[in-house]
Order: sequence, then C-alpha cells, then structure tokens
Amino acid sequence: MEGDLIEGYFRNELTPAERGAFEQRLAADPAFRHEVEEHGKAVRLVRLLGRQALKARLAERGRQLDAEKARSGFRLPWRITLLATALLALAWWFWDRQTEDSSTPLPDTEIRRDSAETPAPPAPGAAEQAEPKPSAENSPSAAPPAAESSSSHEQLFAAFFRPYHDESLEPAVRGEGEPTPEEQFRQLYWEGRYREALAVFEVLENASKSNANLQFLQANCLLATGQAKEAALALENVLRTSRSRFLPEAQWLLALACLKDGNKGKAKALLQQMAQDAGSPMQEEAGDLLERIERWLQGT
Amino acid sequence: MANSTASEPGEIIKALQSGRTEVLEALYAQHREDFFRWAGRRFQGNMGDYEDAWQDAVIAFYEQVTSGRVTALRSGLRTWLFAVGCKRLLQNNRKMKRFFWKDAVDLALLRDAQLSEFEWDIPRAEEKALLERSMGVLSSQCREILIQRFYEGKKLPEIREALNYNSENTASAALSRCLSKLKDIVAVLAGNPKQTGNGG
Repeated sequence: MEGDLIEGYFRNELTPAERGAFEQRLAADPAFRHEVEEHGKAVRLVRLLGRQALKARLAERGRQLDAEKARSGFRLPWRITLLATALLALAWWFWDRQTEDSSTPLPDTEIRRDSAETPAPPAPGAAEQAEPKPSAENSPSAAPPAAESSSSHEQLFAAFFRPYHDESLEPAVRGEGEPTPEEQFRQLYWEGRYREALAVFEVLENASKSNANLQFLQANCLLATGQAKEAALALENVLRTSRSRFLPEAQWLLALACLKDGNKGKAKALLQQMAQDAGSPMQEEAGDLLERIERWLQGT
Repeated sequence: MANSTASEPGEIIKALQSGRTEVLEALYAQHREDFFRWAGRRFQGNMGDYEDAWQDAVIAFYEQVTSGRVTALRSGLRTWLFAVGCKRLLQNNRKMKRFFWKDAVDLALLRDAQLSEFEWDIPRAEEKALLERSMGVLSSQCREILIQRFYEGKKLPEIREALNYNSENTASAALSRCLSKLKDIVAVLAGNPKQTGNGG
C-alpha cells in the first residue's frame, strides 16, 4: 500500500533498496512528491497535536501536585510534631516546678508556651530561630503590667515566627573549588547562623541580591535577628516582583514582620487575605494568628 | 523512583517504548520540585517559566525515546532532564538572568553529545496557526487515533485494543479516514484544496 510505503519512509523503516526506489520516484514523479509532502505536513501536525495533549496532561498532574502540596502546607512530619510536643511538655513541667512558689499570674498561657524560654522546634536551624533572644524584661512573667500591651505583639510574633526551612534549602555538594558567597549564604542559612548569613548576603553580587528567592531567605534572617522593618522591606520587594517560589510564605512573613513592628492594621489585612484564600498554604495559620490578635486587642 | 515497576533509566525507556505513558507522569512528578529548586538557583525566572521548561524536558525525553533517537543514556536520567530543561529555559527566555554555577548538568551539556546536540523543534508560526485551526475541525476521535499512531507510535493491534475497535481492519479504516481528513484540512487551510474530497 502506498500509504504504508510513505509512512515507512518517514519512520526510516525502509530497506536501502526500498528507500533508493522511493527517492527515485520522488525525483521523477511530481504528483507523488506532492503526496509525500502532504503526508509529511499532516504527520508533523499530528505530532504537534500529540505534544500539546501530553503537555496538557503533565500540566494537570502539576496542578494536582501543587494542590497536594498546598494541603500539606507547613505541616511537620508527625514524628517531629510528637517530639516537639514532648519537649514542650517537659519544658512546661520544669518551668512549673521552678515557679510553683511564685504567685505572679501569667497573662496568656498560649503565648507563654511559645516564648523564648520554650525549646525551639526541632527543624534544622530552628534552634536559633530566636537568635535575638527576648530579654528577661520582656518575658511574660517579668514584664510590668503597663508594658504588657507593647510586648504582646512581640510575644505573638515569637509564638508564630519560625525561619522558613524545607529540605529543598539543604545545600548540595556541588561544583569545584571554594564555595561562592551565594553558596556560603545558603549554607549559613541552612545551619541557622542568621547573623553570619546576613553579613555574607551583603557581599553577594547584585544579580544574586536581586534574586527574589534569596531575598526571601534574607528576610528570614532579618526577622530572626530582630530587624522587622528591614525584613518587611525585603518581603515587599519579593511580593512585588512575584518571581519567587515562596510567595505565600513571603506574605505570611510580611504579616509577622508588620506585627513585630507594631503595624497591627497591615498585619491584620494581610492575614485576613490569607485566611480567606483557600489556595493559600498559610490559610490555617493565618486564621489562628488573626484570632489571637483579636483576643489580644479585646483584652487590652 | 518513577513507579514501582520502572525505576531505572533503562526500565523507564523500555516502558515508554512499549507505550506505557503513565511512567512519564511519574517521572514528571518525581523530579519536578527538585528541578524548580535547581532552576531557582540558576535562573531568575518565575514558576511559570520553570514549569514550562520542565514539561518540555519530560516531553523531549519521551519524544527522543519513542522516535528511537535515545535508547540509552550517557548521563543520568535526572541530569539529562535538567540539562534539557536548562536549554529550554535559555531558549524561551533569552534575556533571563542566570547565575553562574558549575554542576553535573553543565558538565553533561559540555561532554554529552546526546545533550549538546539536542535541539527542541519549535513549531513555526504557520504550523501553530494550522494547529489551532485544525483543532476545531478534527473530531476528538480522529485526533486520538492519529495521536496514538503517529505520536505515540502504537501499532494497529494496540490501537484497536486501546480505542476499542471491533477489528484491526476497522481501526485501519478509521485511521486512513482521519489521516485523509487531516490532509484535506491542511490543504484547505494552506489555501490549496484537493480536487477530490475524502469522507471523515
């Protein structure tokens, strides 16, 4: 069949003899040549159609993966959650024993639970999350009643802020020779050495400094070292450029930076936006923090 | 692992050669996040750019395997896919900022001829226009049988089974009819209609 012959030619499946005869006929017979060209165009179009269909299938799979990721959000593996709970219980027990003679009431047990005296979450580097440890004067039990309002937003911040970490940030062994400043920055961030990471960030090339993903990490470092205003500026830039894979997390951190900085209005607006966004991986946390802010504001 | 039955590159290639395209979706999912992280370190792009490049890399692998141009890999599968994804990012976004880095992907692009010579065949503008216009004219059944035959490279017995035709003859007749219809569409859209029409 002629169709099979043409198809065999395009698939490179003809024997040398068949191919020779085919090419001779192509050269001699214009009608046949036209038919072969038409066949080639049609098959090429089918291949493009096939590619388009496959791309649509992969895109759909990608949307499913993103939805799964969004549902899991920032949730920690259950073993880590269990360990953190056990550590918190232990810390509570020690704290309770040490203060059982004290009659000083605590303003908000939920806030106290997550204060700087609480063991840090066991995520990598999280042990140094509160690098600028709140001073004893700021701790709930030592704070004078008049200072309670101003310190509560700090306490809420401390309760909710945790420098972003996921396995993707783990620096891989790559390349040759000395690590570049960017590699050093990533390494220091991964190790939770936020002050040192910030120092290295300053010497990065401009191209790296303007990388929104690196700016997001820089903002984490700034927040971890108590520089809320600077962190907010960096995060606003990340959100403005929309060129980061950490956009939902950047919005969440911006809300926390505003909260720490005392800008409750903006923090609430950002949190409300996230709490109403079913697609946001931070929806649950945002709702929770909003509720606590409201409780705090009602109590002051 | 791409899935429980095809984890090694050789197994994945064999699975794709035998028409098991579900392996491709598993492969796409397996390295997707990793590619985004890698690309995020190398380029100043957005998620859309990375997603597009990653889809194209996986599709390129599929097309190279099913066309017989790739039967074994000199570089690892992940490296192969990342290298093609990298080429796609550069091809799609010539002005995209990039960060100089040296890793296995760069070495593979330098040393592996399979990769350094690889070119993604970008459809020409008139082909894109033809594609869009023919989509609306060709029935979905025709599209499916043509794709299975000419894109996925399935043989008639496989097509008969996959699309539930009564016999191979019926499948063959449907294939001829659809191909003929597509040729008519191409001729008409190209302003060169055939004198003798074909049914469809």
